[in-house]
Amino acid sequence: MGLTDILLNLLFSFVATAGFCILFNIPKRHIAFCGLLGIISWLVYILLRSPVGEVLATFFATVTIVLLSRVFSIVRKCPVNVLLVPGMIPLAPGSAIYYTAYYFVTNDMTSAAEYGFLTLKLAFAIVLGIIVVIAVPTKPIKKLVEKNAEKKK
Amino acid sequence: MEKTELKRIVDVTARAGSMLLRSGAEIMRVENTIGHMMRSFGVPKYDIFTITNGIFLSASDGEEEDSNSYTRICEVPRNSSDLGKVDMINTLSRDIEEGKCTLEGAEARLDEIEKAKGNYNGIISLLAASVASGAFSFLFGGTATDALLAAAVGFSYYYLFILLNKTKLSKLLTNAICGFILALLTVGLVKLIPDVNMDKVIIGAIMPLIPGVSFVNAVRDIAAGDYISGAIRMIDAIVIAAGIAVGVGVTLLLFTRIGVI
Repeated sequence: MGLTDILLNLLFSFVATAGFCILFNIPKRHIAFCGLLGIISWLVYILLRSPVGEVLATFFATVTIVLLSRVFSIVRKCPVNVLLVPGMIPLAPGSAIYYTAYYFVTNDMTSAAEYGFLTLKLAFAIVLGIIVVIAVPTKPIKKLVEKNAEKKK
Repeated sequence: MEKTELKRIVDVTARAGSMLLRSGAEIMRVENTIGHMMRSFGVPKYDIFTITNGIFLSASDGEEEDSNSYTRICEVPRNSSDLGKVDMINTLSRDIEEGKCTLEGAEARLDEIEKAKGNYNGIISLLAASVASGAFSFLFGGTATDALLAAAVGFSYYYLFILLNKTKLSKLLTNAICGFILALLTVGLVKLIPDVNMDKVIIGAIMPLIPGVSFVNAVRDIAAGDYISGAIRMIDAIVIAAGIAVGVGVTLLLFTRIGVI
């Protein structure tokens, strides 16, 4: 992947996430930050996709985004979902759902099953990623954020 | 505590809770918000039970035999994702907790939040859906032409989606119709314009329909141990995804049988 490719990927993941923020009616003051989260999740995903495969890449990208949205929801004083949902959008298995439906109607059942299971695997990767990070209690995260805030002062 | 005051507190908290639930907050947040508000307004004893489409709430001002108590059950119909409202009610709940907002103030602000039209008007949402479709088409490996076509398709069918959402049509049908139309538009464009990857255009264009809020909330509810609500939301997400797949699938099936694609 060349430099222009990476830059274009960054730009478009930002634009796509920001577009979703508008669809979810997220206030303007959060949009740029959500776009940044979208860039991060997409970057983690495409960088890990070739070495570890798309399912694990989705898992690690999810873990990154849930962690970041939990930390920054405390910093920015907003609900976790406002940051988490847009940040997760680039990881949605839209193409896997499409290919499942496509091979299903074109009667290529082997490929349909393959993509169907891929959809399930991707969904499970997201589920596990969210559950692992949500299980961390809020107190240590809050303490960490407050400590950093004090240091800055 | 006066009986009327208790009633007002329960009504306000119930309203805040059901607005949160309807706009796409997870169960834990709804229950915590109601609890915080109750405590800040000085209700000593309360119980909350929340599932995806209802809130059961009771409060009393003491343990004595003659203490007042009040119970409410709120039905929370059909949810629509509006994370802006979740954010506003979150701010309101913080203000109440810090003592910056009285009961009257909370009532007024809830009225305001309920009436709020949304941060963006129709045209902006259409453009957002269109831009997001185009961008995703590119991210999933489409060419510049694919991205432009996805943006055009996203713009036109999302208008239909907004219209259908105002009717009482079921989610399955709404998404199936949108999927059908968007695939139809794409097939038409693919026939008119050479060198277009049909799959990349459709994948980009279906993204605005993806049930992101339902899915994330389903997982968060299950992670928090609210299994019933998590299951309801997960089914909601699956129904929407199935609707999209059925809609797109029917169009593809029709045209492959005729032999156009």
